Amino acid sequence: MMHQLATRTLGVVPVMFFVALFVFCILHFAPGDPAVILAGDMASPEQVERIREALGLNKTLLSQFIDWLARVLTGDFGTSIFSKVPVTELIAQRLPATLSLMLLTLVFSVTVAIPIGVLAATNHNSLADRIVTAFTTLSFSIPVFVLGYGLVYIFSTSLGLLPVQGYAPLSAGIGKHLSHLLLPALSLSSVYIAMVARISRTTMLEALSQDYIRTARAKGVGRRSILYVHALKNTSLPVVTVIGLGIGMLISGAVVTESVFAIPGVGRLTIDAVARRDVPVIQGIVLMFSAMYIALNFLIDVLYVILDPRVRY
Amino acid sequence: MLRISEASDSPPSTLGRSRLTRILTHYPGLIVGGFLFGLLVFAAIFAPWLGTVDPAALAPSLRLAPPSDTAWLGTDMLGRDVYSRAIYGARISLSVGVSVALLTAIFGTAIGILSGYVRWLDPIIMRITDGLMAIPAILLAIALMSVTRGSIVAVVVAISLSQLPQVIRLIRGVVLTIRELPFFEAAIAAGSSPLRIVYNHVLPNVLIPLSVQATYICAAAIMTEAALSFIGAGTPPMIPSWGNMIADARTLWQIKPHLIAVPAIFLTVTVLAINLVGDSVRDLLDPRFSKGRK
Repeated sequence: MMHQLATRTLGVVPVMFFVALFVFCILHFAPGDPAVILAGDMASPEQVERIREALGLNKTLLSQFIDWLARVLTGDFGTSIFSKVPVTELIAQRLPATLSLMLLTLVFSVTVAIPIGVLAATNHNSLADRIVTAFTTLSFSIPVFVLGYGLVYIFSTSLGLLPVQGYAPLSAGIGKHLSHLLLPALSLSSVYIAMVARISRTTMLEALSQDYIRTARAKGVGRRSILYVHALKNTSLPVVTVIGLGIGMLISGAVVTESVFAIPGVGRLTIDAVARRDVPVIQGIVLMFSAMYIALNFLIDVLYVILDPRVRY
Repeated sequence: MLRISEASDSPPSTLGRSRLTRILTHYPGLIVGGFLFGLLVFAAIFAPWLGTVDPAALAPSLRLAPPSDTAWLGTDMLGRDVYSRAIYGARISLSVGVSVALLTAIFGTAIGILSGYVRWLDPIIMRITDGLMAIPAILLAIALMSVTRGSIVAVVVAISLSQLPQVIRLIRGVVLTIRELPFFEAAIAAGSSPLRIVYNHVLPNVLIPLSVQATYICAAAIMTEAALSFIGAGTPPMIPSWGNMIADARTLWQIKPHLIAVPAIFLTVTVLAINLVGDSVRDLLDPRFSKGRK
C-alpha cells in the first residue's frame, strides 16, 4: 500500500509541473512583449524597462522559467499590476467567501444528489426515474448565471424572502452569512446535483443487478439493508470520483456565480483582473485553483487505496 | 439459439421501418432536440430575412421601449432591437459551438491516434493532457483570453484548448482497445501501412463515440462562450452574443427582467436541444442505457 501511495504522490509532480509551465507560457508566448503586458496599458516606457529588468526578461527563457518557478514554490506569485499588492495577499483576502460558497454547494449537492440517484435506480423506468432524468438533462443545459438570475427574480425580487445580492462574512453571524449564500449555492449546485445524481443512478442500477444482491435477497436481507449496506457501499467509488472531478466545474461555476451575486470572492478577483489585464493575479489564481483541484483529487485517490484493496496504480 | 432470436425478430423487409418507428417512439428527445436545433440553425442562417433590423443599430430615443409592432421584444438600454440581437446571437453561439466541436474532433482524433499508436509519445501526451485537465475550463479560457486581443477566433481557440484533452483521452482509449483485437493484428500481418490501418480500422471505430462527445462539446462550448462574454472575457462587447446581451442587461435587469430573460431562454433552449440529441444518440448506441429492451 505504501508503494502505491508513493507512486500516486509522484504522479502529482509532473501534472503540477505542466500546469506551472502552461501558466508561465501564457505570458511569454502570448503575442506582444510580456513586459508591456505586465506593465499594463498606462505604463510609461521607463516603467516597462524596469519591469523587463526586474523579471530578467533579457535572460534565456529557460532560466526565466526556473527563476519564476523558484519564486512560486516559495509562495511568491508576484505583485498585482493594478493594486501593487502581493498576489498571495489578494487571494487570501478573497478566499474565505469562495470556499464558503463552494463548501455549502458541495454539502448540499451531495446530500440531495445521492438519494435522488438511488431513488431513480430503485424505481427504474418509473415516473420518478423519468423525472430525475429530465431534471438532470435540464440542469446540464441551464447556464449557472441564467439560473442565478432566475432564482434571484423569484425569491428576492418577487417574494422578498432573501437578500438580492451581496455577501456577509461568517463574523456577521451565521444566519446572515447563510442567507446571502443560499441562492448562490443553490444555482451553483444544480449542475453538480445533476452530475452526481446521474452517476449514482447508473452505478446503483449496475450494483443492483449483481449476483451478491440476489444472494442477499435470497437469504432474506431487508430491502433497506440491501440498498444502503450492500449496494450503496459498492457504488461509492465511482460516485466519489465524480464528486472529485466535479470540483473543477464547481470552481469554474463559482467564478461566474460570484459575478451574478456580487460576492467578493476569488471569482470576482478573477473578473476584475481580466478587465484590467492583471496577468500576475490571473496566473496566481489559475495556479492556486489548479493546485486545489489536483490536491483534492489526489486525496480521493489515496482514500481509494485505503478503502478498496483492489485499487492499484 | 440463433434461430430462436431470428424468429423473434420482425421479418427483414419491415425491419428498417419498424426500427425507425421504435427509435422515434423510444427517444422523443431526438425529435424534440433535433427540431429545436434545426430551428435555431435556420434562424442563424436566415437571420437577415426574419423580420430583423441591424442588431447593432443604436436608437437613443427608443431606449428600453416595451414590445411593439416594430420592436417585437422591445429595445435595450441603447435602443437596440432585442429580437434582432437574439436572432443574430444564434449565429455567434452556433458558430462557436460547431467550430469548437469540429476543431477538437479533428485535432483530438489526430493527437489521440498518435498517443495510442506511438508508444514513446504516449506518456508525454498524457502528462500534457493531465496538466490541461487540471486547470478548470473557464479559468483556462480566461487565462488565454487575458493575453490576447478579444476576438471570436480567440474565444474559439481558448475553449477548444480546454475541451481538447477529453477528446484525446477518448480516442486514445479506443485505439488502445482495438489494437489488442485480432482484426488489428490481422491487418498488420497482411502488411497494411499504418495510415491504411488508421483509415480502415481505427477511424470507423472512433466515429460513434466521437460524434456523441462532439455534441456535448458543442453544448459546453456554447455555454462557456456565454459565460466568458458574461464576465467580460469573451466575444467583444460590440458583437451581439447572448452572453453579451445578458452582461449588458445586468445593471437594469430588476426593472427590465426580459432583457436577461430573452437571451437566457435562447441560450438554454439551444444547449438543451443539443444535449437532448447527444443523450438520445448515446442511449441509442449504448446497450447499457437502452430502454424497453431486455
